[in-house]
Amino acid sequence: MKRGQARKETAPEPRLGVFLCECGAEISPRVDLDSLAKTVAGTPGVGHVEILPFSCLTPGLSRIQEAVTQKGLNRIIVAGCESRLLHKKFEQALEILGVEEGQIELVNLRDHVARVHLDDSNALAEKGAKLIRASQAWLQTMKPVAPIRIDFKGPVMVLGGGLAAYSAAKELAEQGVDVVLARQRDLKEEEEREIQVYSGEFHTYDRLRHLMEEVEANPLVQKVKVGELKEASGRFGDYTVTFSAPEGEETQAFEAGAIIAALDWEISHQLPEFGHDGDSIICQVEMNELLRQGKLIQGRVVFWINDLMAGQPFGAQLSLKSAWHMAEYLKEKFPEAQAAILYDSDITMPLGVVDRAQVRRLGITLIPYDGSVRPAVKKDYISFNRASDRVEQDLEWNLLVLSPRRSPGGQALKVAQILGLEVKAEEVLERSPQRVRPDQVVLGEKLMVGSACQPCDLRGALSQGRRVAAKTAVLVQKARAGELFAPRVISLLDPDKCSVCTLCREICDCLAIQPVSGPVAGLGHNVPRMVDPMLCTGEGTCAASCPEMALTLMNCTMAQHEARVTALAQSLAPDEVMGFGCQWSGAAAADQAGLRGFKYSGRFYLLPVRCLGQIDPVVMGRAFLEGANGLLLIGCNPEECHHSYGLDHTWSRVWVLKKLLALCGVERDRIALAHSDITQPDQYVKTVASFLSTMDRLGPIQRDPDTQSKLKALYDAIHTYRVRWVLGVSLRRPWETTYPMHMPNPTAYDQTLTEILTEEFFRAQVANLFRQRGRSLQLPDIAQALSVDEERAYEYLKDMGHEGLISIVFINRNRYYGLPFGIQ
Amino acid sequence: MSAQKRKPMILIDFTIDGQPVQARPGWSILETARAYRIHIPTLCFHPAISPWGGCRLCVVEMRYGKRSKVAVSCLTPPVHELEVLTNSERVMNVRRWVLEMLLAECPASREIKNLAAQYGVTATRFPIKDPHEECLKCGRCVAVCNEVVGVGALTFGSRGVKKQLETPYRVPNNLCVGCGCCVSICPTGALQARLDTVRGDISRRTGHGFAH
Repeated sequence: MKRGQARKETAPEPRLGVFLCECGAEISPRVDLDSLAKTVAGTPGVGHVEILPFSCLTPGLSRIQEAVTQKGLNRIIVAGCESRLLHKKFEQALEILGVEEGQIELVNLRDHVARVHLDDSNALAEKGAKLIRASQAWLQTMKPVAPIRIDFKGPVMVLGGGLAAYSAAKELAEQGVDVVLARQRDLKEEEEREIQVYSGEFHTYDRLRHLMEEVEANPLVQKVKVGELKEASGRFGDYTVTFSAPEGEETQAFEAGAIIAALDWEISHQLPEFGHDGDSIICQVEMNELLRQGKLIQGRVVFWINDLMAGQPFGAQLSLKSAWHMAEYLKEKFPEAQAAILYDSDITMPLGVVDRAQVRRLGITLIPYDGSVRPAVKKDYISFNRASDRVEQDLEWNLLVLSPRRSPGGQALKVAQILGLEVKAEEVLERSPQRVRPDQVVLGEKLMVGSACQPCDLRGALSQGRRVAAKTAVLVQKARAGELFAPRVISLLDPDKCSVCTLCREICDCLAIQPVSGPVAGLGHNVPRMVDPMLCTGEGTCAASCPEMALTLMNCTMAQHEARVTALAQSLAPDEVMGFGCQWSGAAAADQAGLRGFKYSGRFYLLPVRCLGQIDPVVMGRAFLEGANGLLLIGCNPEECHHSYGLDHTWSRVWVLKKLLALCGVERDRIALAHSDITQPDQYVKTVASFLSTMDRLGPIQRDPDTQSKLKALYDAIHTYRVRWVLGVSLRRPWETTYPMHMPNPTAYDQTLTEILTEEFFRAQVANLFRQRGRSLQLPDIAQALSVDEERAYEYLKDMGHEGLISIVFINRNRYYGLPFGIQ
Repeated sequence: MSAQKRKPMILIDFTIDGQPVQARPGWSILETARAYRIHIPTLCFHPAISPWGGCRLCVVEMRYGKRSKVAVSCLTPPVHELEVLTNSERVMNVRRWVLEMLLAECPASREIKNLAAQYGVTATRFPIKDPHEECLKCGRCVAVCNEVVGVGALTFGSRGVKKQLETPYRVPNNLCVGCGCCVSICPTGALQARLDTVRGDISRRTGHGFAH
């Protein structure tokens, strides 16, 4: 589908510039930069090397800008310090010259090498050279993808029927943005709803009515009457929203650039166990109605705030406040009546000093009761346990007003579900997603507002609507100026490769992967998928899980990862070890260890990544194939991944790698997952030291031809659809209570997984064996070459033949197995 | 090379400690000094954020004609024929005062103690409010969260002697993305120790997954 205009392509040939930073006395003379510069300059592909006193200050930046212009550099490595802190500064300085995010790499020579290792300056220069070489491979493999400009088509659609819609519409109109307000009721009916949904808030009703009148009169807000929401498909900037008609069968479709769903909760009477009878025991909603009608109320009115007992703690303070307003109104209207508020002492009283003075003046009694004892309603008295002294008390009453029952309501739930949220009945729709960028568009939090999402009173709902509208307006104005671009590192789907297995949609936590013709209840099949550029957080676990490898992380591809890992693995000495650290915890803890002056061995080489979740198992396999003797992955704590559980997914991938390594005859301990946190750099240092000692114990991998061919088979096996599919469906998602693939227990799952991996490993070995020998083979040869017993090999080969993966030919009544006929 | 005549580059010639140096418009004295590998100590300055001039440690004496004044080098742009002195008596005096005050402000900080020792300051005459305090209120964390991350999750609360680093309402902030930039930019270990008061418990922010 059309993505909008792209910018001019950058120069096709990568020209690399490397800038070594002295960083005052921090890097040089600890690292011999002259020898490092010489080594780097001697590497093919490097167009410019320079040593700068401080690359990050204005003089240094001007020098880099000059070099970029003079030599036409389009890839930059700055060997300096923290990428997280300084990346933005370098990007801003180089953007105008056409060098963009993704084309600039910061290697943390200061805090990963200079400040933490005690080796001599030459050895550190060598380490720096290896890290720079790895980054070089990364940058040279990168094919810059032009940034996607987001076109904002159509107005902002405000739907859902909630009262927050009005404040949202007003805010958008004030910012000059066209709005379509889709509602099922007309204005009069909407005004009536306020009392049903938000009882007791007399001071806010006028404000709401005033707001509604303003919106009604505003020319920028187009009001349409619609039926129910049927479907919403598309991406941010280009949605198609379909409703059923108010009456009749036809549907109405609208084009919208953004969707704001205002969802209010539904109010119902309290549970029957509390004795509601509509006469003397009523609900707050009915009380509100009585007060509005001005009916005379006499006697003792007791407001019982029973939300905690009814299992709705979020409603407690709201009920208390509205009871307070109603009591106030009552006493002012009918000073003869008596009002008391009976509330659970666990509820924090939301009344301020002025309110309490008012309470005393009006003579309203506030009675906290002990929540562990249920107040009992008798004919003339309510008995309760007084909180202050735990003595049973009696309270006379004539009219008992219970708290209302609040729930999202069927309609709100349906709207949320259509917009892609997983909903459970009765549960509030509030979600608190992980944020990775301040400007991130987050569907649940940003575009669904109202009391069904975050319980609040009327003023709160209006405020939510206004805030969301303000954020949306900013995006719309940017898009109109042609300045709204999707982030540079996001997922991209190749629809030709996608086989619509829906795995990515299950894994993605950002709601960015949507089917093109609308989310379908359950799993939609035969529906092409698309990634919404504005919602994607750029983590990449979707790309690393896709069985068809149809998803790519732009400017951060698997090819780049493989190139980087190969460059480093090939350059490491036998006693050196490599690893990955995520920028949120692993690499961040390494940064912090350097900043705080910890010291540890220089034999560990850390490759920073955005999130461990983007490391495809293919990349892990490639590392071992190209010479790595060990691989340590350091990430966030379990279930605390800043993205969509990438860390937990890595756990499953490491599990598979361990099994495959065992099949190769290589020790399982050589790959390991560890956790760290930026506030514990000492722990990071210990983790690294411990892994190094494990590696010392195991020694380097014996790379005889047999082992090497097995590692090649491992690498090939991870590319197959079957292994990737099995891995993908069993990726750990912490809230799941069933075991993957509907296994009864983890052992059964593990056994099945082992069987599948063994078979796929064999298949890869067989294919490689045929290619290596260049001819067909008989069963005994195959079994001997792969050290497998003939019976099992026979079964495997038979299945392979059935699936067309090999050819089986009879010559003189002997079976010959070979590569399949036709184009390889 | 274009055929048009290029505008002549304006260069500012001045001296730092007697050494002739050249700056371009937009460079501060501090940046020029660093480009020439001349050392001026700093605390609240960091390349990732805009210079603030809060710590007063980067002060230099500037002599122009017969006048002389002491000002912060991170904010002052140089002018022609300015004489900058980085170690004159006035400068060292200011530095020692600043360090002595810092020793009272954050007595528990190893980094401040080391820095002070370099200038011969080992004890302080000022009263120590909190012997375990490491935060020197340099404002780097607030600046990085506002400028680099763009969120503004933490800020200075209260003013005067009660000024401290905190989040709005002193509760962990929903705006915080948990990037740890503030921890990395902090010159001492102060924020590392109290990061959880800003970002809160991360697991509370991973709700159930959205899409299935």
